[in-house]
Amino acid sequence: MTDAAEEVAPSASSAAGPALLEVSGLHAGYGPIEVLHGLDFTVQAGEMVVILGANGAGKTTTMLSLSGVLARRGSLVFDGHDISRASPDAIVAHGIAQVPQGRGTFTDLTVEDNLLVGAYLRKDPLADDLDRWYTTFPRLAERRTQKAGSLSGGEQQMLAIARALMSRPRLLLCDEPSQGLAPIIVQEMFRILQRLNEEDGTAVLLVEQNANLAMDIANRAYVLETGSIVASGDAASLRDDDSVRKAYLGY
Amino acid sequence: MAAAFKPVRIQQGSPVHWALRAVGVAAMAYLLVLPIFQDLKPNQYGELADIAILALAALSLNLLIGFTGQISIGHSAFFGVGAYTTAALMDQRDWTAGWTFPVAAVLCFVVGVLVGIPALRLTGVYLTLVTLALAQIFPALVRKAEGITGGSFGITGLAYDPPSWTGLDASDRGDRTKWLYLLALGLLALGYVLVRNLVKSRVGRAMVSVRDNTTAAGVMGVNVAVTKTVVFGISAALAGVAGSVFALRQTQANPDTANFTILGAILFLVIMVIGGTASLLGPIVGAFVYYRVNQFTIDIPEKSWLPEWFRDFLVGRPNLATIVFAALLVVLMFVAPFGIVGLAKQTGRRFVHVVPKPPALAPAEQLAPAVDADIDDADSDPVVNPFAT
Amino acid sequence: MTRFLQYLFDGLSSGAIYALLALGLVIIFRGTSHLNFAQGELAMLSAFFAWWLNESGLPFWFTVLLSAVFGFAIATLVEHFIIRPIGRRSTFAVGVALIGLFLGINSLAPFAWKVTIPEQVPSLFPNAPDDFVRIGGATWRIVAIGNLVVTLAVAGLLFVLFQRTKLGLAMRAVASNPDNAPLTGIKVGRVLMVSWGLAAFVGAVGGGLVASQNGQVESTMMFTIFFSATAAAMLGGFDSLLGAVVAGLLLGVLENTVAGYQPELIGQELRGTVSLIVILVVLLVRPSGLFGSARVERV
Repeated sequence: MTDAAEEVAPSASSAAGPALLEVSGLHAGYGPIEVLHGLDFTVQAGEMVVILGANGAGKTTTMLSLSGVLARRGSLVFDGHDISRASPDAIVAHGIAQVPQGRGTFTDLTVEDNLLVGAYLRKDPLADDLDRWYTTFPRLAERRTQKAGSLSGGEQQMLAIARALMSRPRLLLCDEPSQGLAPIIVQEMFRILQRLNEEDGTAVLLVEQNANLAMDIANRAYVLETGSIVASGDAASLRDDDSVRKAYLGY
Repeated sequence: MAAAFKPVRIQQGSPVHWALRAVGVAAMAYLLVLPIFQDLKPNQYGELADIAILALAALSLNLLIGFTGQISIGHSAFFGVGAYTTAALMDQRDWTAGWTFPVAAVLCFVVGVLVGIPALRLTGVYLTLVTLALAQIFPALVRKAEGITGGSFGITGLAYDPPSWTGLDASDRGDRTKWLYLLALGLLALGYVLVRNLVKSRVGRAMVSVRDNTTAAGVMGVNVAVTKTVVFGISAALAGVAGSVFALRQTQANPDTANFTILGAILFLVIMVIGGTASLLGPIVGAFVYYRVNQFTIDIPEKSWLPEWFRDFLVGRPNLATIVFAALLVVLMFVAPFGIVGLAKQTGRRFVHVVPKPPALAPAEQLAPAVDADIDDADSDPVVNPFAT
Repeated sequence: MTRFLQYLFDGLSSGAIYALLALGLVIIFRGTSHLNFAQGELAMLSAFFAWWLNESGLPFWFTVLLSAVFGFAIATLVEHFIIRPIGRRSTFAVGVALIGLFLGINSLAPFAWKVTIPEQVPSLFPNAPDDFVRIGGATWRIVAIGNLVVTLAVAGLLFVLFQRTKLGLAMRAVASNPDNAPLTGIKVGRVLMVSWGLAAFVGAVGGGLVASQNGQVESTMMFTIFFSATAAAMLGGFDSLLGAVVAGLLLGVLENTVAGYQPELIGQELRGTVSLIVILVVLLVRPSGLFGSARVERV
């Protein structure tokens, strides 16, 4: 299927040495139903990549299979380690964290406990990290002893991101972080992701329906349609390619 | 495996399908009805009567599962209420046994609805909790209510002589037991038809097909809570009638009877699960198997073909039956969650596939095998994935 | 007043045992939403184990501790090899399997130990006729105080475990959002296994207290207690540990008080009706219980 993918422009970064995450022939689904029909994509170290696609294209399935919570087939190599068969906790230990779709928080736990859960596999002191994310997200600092469930939607999404970052990932997976949030909050969140990506060099793999915004901050993009990648390339050139834009991005 | 055979496809309602059904009905009839015309020993009729009573009690659970997907572990209480209603009315009011059945049914229905109302509004474990409580306090209540139930002594000396129209001899022990068998069989048949029609009704279909999706049922115009509660009442009534016949068969009602305690409720569940959850024939098959296996374990110490050490090992230990059934319950959840009938159907489907008729021609009347398939299909819980996109 | 104090003291003692069993039910329910039907029977099995070791000369308090470890081990095996694989099929199947376990353990214990009559065990606490303290004219037996103290100690340890340890954090995370927990690196399967073990551990302590109080072990020793414990778990809110303790003690006092003030109508025989009424009232008025998070779904 991927042979048919339209390579719009050769992506600059794909030539730069071995990728941080290299996915080839990824199949995944639910029980007998296959949702992903063999995806190939890469994320370079420090890169921000977005996967665009409509509802039901298989975006969440992709993310969940990357984190190892869904049965999957294919080859996943992260930083030279084969993680095709790794368990979810091993994948986190390798340095991949995910902000799942919807409210990825533990609503019955306090804000601080949420952050501590995020660092579950770490054994080193956490004070610096807590400080850092409380500084980045002052709202969370104000509410550190409150239950996460009492936060607003935007605050919960921030908490989910901070929680994922507590594991100090080298690759952050974000599944539709803009879902259900007010535009101004979405912008703020994307700014924070961008800063994180630029300052820390944390690679980000973003899945979005909101193509417009995502393309602004991403280096590269893939377009997913019914379980296959149908287009890929530089964010800028993909956005400028009328045929791709009209056919798949719908704006 | 499946690819090796190409299953024969049979259209629902076609002559071949009817023929298959006829074979099934004939087999059941052979098992259940033939004994009536044979001249069995009194204890053989007694056995069959016991089986029919247990089957009826398990069938009542099946109705509940079909509609609500939930387990009751309090049906021993309804079984007991039925038994004591019959016993008390006969003992204190000199009623004829036959007239006590409807009273028992109505009483159990009312009790069932009353305890069902609060629990069945909610999803989750609440019905289990309430029914557990019922099962737990019923024997204690019976002991306390001495005026009606005879307290710890119970009510003894119940007798139901065969009426003259049956042509059975009331003074003959064999005929008296045969009469009880006929009675139990008749009520079982009645219960079977009732459950089948309920499950096949429009409301029943809606409930079965969307059992775990209550919103969908609401959209379809079914008042889920009320329907569940009424069904629970009917299920209780069926268990009560089974209890009525049980009292007659025992000739007494006694609070120490295991079937009136929580162990009885679990026994009904065991029978239903062994035979086949969500299958109408399941309880009957299950009751037969239960009875045979139970008999077998009781006789184990006398089985000379078993190794000596094993029989020695069993000396002084409680009966193996309960352990066997408990293990069976757990193992069945692994290998055959739909019991013997479910397993048989699964195997049968490899060879014969019944295809539904085109909707326009669908007959209003459908027979048992198709009914079972319907309930089964609804029950083969597709794994709900919490991560679904 | 003296009379009420007496019911209060006696009630706190039986309530303490309900609380222990209810704690076990809640620990498991929080993780998987299963009502562990075998909770009482696992406690009974552990009590048999403690009796058996006690027969060989070890002190009873020590064998009860060992039996709690034994219960822990058995329950983790049950979770790993029975509940989890069956849970992939359906909740209904787990319910049936748990009822099978209830039945199986209940008959396995007397079968394995060849026990047909109740076997004697010593008391865990001083239990001579004059082992009591007198408060306001009522007698508070040392045994009753002992039951209460043990329960409060166990509850306190559990609290520390849940609130102050990493394992506790993981258990709370799994209870709160089992789908997200694996994404943070928590091994959900292992957490559930430990939850079952903990539940059985706490239950085994309860079983030891029951055996000590009755002076004997028998296969039906947990029947009525388990039933009251389910009522207590429900009253407490089914997913609240604090609720389980408070509701357990409350229910014990309630049962004793009602049975005490209505010896004719209720009495010891019909104590259980109190639990039934509590269950029905909670269902009607406040299905999420006293301390539960209001996650109850209506149809």
